[in-house]
Amino acid sequence: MKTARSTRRAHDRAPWPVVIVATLAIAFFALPFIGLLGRTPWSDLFNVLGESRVRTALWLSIRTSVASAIASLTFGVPLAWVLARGRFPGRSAVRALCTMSMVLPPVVGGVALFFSFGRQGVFGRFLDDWFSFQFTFSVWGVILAQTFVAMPYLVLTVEAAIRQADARFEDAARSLGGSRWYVFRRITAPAIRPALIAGAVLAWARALGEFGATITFAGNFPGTTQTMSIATYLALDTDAREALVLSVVMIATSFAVLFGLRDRWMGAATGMTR
Amino acid sequence: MTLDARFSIVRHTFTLDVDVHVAPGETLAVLGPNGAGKTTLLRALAGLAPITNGSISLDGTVLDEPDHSVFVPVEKRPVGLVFQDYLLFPHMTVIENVAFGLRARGTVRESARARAGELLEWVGLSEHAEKKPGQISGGQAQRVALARAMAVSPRLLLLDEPLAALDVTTRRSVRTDLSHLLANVDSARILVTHDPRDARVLADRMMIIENGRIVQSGSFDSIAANPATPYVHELLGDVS
Repeated sequence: MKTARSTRRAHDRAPWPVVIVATLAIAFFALPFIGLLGRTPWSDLFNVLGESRVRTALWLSIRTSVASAIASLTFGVPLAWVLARGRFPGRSAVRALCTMSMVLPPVVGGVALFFSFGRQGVFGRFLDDWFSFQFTFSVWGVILAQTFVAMPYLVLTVEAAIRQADARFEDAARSLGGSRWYVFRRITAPAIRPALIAGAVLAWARALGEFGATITFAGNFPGTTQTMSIATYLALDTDAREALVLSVVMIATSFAVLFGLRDRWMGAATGMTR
Repeated sequence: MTLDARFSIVRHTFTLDVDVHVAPGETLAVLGPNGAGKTTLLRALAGLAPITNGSISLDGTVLDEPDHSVFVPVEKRPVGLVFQDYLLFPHMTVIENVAFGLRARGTVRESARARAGELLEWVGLSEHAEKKPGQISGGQAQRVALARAMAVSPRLLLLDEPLAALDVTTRRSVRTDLSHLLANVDSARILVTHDPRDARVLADRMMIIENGRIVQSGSFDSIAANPATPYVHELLGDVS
């Protein structure tokens, strides 16, 4: 329970025009979800979730989004380190290149992947010729497309954390005889741990919601490439209840992620300063 | 058997040009106004900043000599550092901090912790071994930082303003403790400070730098008796 005194001190009352416009903005975000939740067949929720088509899409999405989050961590953390600490010409251009897929229309990302890693693509044809491996229309294609779109979220989060971390702790650790790799594992990584978690969760959530790049590059096969978002979109034409239920699942997940990260995401990376 | 350094280092528009020699078991205090190049000197000796000209050698081993393309990186130098704000690793306990250098050099966990325990006993902090750095006082943190630096038996110990972060009321007793501890250290020592009292209690010799150049060096008394610049006069005026 708050005391009356702390309440009185803490609140700076906003001017009323600001309050009105802000309320409108909140309503703008809230109303679509209220509308959606109002039409959701709550009594049928578990029946619909149990339908094999929905279950297949759900399971595929879980597997591929986790795989994308792991891939983003594996490749994104070293990339973030190089962007934060590396000194080489064109670093800003490299950063722009590696985070472009955040702002690019995902369909364009999908088209780019199609013409490079597709079966007839500039690089993809060698994979097919040499290893009989193709990304398109396979689970690997889904993971590739999702990672392409999701990794920048991790890279930017982790890069900011590495920049803010006090590099003198690393100097101290190196002066004690730690190799760069040892220092990264024992000093840098623990200091940026909140950002690693936040970045991985953001990348995972983005991968879970990925639609444009995935359907363009990997296609739309139930069980192999038809993820939740794609299934939702297609269900709108056939069975609106399915679309609503899948949407509810994704809304709940996204809300939980952002709510859970509310402190960590923004205030991350204070780890090293005492 | 000693530190022999004669070098210059250019950073942006600033040039530090010095000639430093310290014998084992001897403490040299380096004093100077802010921006004189004190921290740059330590960073160069530690290997955190490569020198531009000249050479640095320790016990006859060349650590940095650009003319012969020699540069021993910081993690390979037998040099210990105590930073002004100690920089104890906040996510490790006190004993893990002290054991860090040995672990980094491949000593197994048990022997590293045993050695760290001995060092904590040396600095009188055995009962704080399992605490986190946030739970101990500034004076204690400074002793942990010293124990951590000494764990790898450096032949050159660099102390960057080790008393500056402390409260005025504790500074005096911590300074006395530090002088007793340093008496047991047989490596060459360089103490950077802006407080002449530190120099008088802790050091055998003094060196004063201004604008990247040595303006005077010698014993405390000889410098105090005959200050070479207005800054030195001002600095030592109210201490002796």
